[in-house]
Amino acid sequence: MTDPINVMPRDAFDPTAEMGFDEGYGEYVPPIEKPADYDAPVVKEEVPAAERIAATFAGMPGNEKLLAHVIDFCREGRASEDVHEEIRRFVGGGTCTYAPEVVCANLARAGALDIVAEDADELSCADDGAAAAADGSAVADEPQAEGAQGAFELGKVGAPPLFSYAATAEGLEVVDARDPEGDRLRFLEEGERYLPVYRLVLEECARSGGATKKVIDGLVDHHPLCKEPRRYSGFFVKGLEGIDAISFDGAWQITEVGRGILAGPALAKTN
Amino acid sequence: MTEPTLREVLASRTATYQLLSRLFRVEVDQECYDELLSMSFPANTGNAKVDAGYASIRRYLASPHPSPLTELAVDYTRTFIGGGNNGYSAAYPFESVYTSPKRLLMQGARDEVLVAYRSAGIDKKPSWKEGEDHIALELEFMQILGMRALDALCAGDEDAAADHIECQKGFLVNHVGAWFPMMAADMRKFSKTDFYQGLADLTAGFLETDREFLCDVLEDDEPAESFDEAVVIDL
Repeated sequence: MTDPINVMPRDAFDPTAEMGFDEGYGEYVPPIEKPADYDAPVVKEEVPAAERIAATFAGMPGNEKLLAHVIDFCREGRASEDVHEEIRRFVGGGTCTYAPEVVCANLARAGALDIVAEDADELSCADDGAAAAADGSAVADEPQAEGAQGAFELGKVGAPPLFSYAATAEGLEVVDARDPEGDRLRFLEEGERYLPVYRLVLEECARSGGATKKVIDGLVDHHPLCKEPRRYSGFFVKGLEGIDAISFDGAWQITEVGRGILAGPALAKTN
Repeated sequence: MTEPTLREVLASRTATYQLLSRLFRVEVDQECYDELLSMSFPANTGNAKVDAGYASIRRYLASPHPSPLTELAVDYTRTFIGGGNNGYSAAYPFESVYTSPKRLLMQGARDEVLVAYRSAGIDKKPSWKEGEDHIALELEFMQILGMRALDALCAGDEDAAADHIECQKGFLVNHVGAWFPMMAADMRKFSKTDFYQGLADLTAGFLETDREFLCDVLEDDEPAESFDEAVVIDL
């Protein structure tokens, strides 16, 4: 039961009665159980950018293509809003757990992107000005106003600073090391057993309007190759989407890559 | 250049306590972020920690960040909540943690500040689910006492103003000013953004200057025609 709020006359209530305070209480220094834990220096481990980028890719499963595309998009440097918009376009009708800003922040933290302030000179002056003001020295270049108390003021920041992203060398190394064509060839080689099923799915996706899951289920569920081991439509759809042969836009649609595979030698021998 | 009057100084102190309380209470949201962007920060105040604190906070706000609110929320959690359970994994913002032998919550310090609040006719809102010895509440208590002193001064009641200032001094010396330096040290250890690093310096420095100010004000025994004109503070 909580006490009601009562405003008591100051003389009628002594809040410190029977609390056992003495003159030394004001100087009370609490005991520290483990002093070493307080004094232990913070050791900052420098993890190489390549490792951080790899960890970021691994930590955002299903977004590897998006991350690689963002790094590649920022190869020559792009304004932040353009990059965020490009991420939204790339995700399209799909779902990405991460907001565009968070994707870029993760890549910047990993060392795959550099954040470049729009006006780097002004930013560095502001930084020096702030540090110099903290030292108590006069600052000539920083826009300052004399405040009411006679102390100088650091100017208002105003709007959030504009900036752009630029891919780093380590980030570009990761992107340039990717081999989509090689991944496709490996995929078709390793999935040679299921090439007839892949051909059926791609042909259905090539029809006008694409193929719905129900249609693909109908192709796969009773196919002899899918009985042992039992395979469902998701296995084939995921594989083909992973090599960019199909994409989802209301229904599964074949892409240019998929048309190339359909017309290529790997699936031709399944005719 | 006119030197500030006591009323101006009290108003400035109250506003600073309000800002600090807000920044400790919860993460920075869009409204708070926009307000910080529109603020001018003092420089060359005479206290190195205050100057460094304001400079760090402004440096963070002036630097480009893809997602500043998310980054600040992450750092808030990292700094004040942490990820461990050994009592040394964060800068826990409770007086009990720093003044109890086993670094536990809801210890004697919480009871003491509760007595202080209730003796001033104040209690926490039901929506506040944390302990009353949270740094945000203690700073807000200082803000409320400052507002009461200012109101009393504006109403011409110098005795009441002096009482409230005396109460502030007692609370600062016995509570928030006594344990916050340890929390500030932990904040510097755990926070990774300039924002919360700066907040640690700013709060520690401000409590130092405020303690000096309150001691100066309450030790001024020279008679004056008006309380308002007697005390002039160089900041």
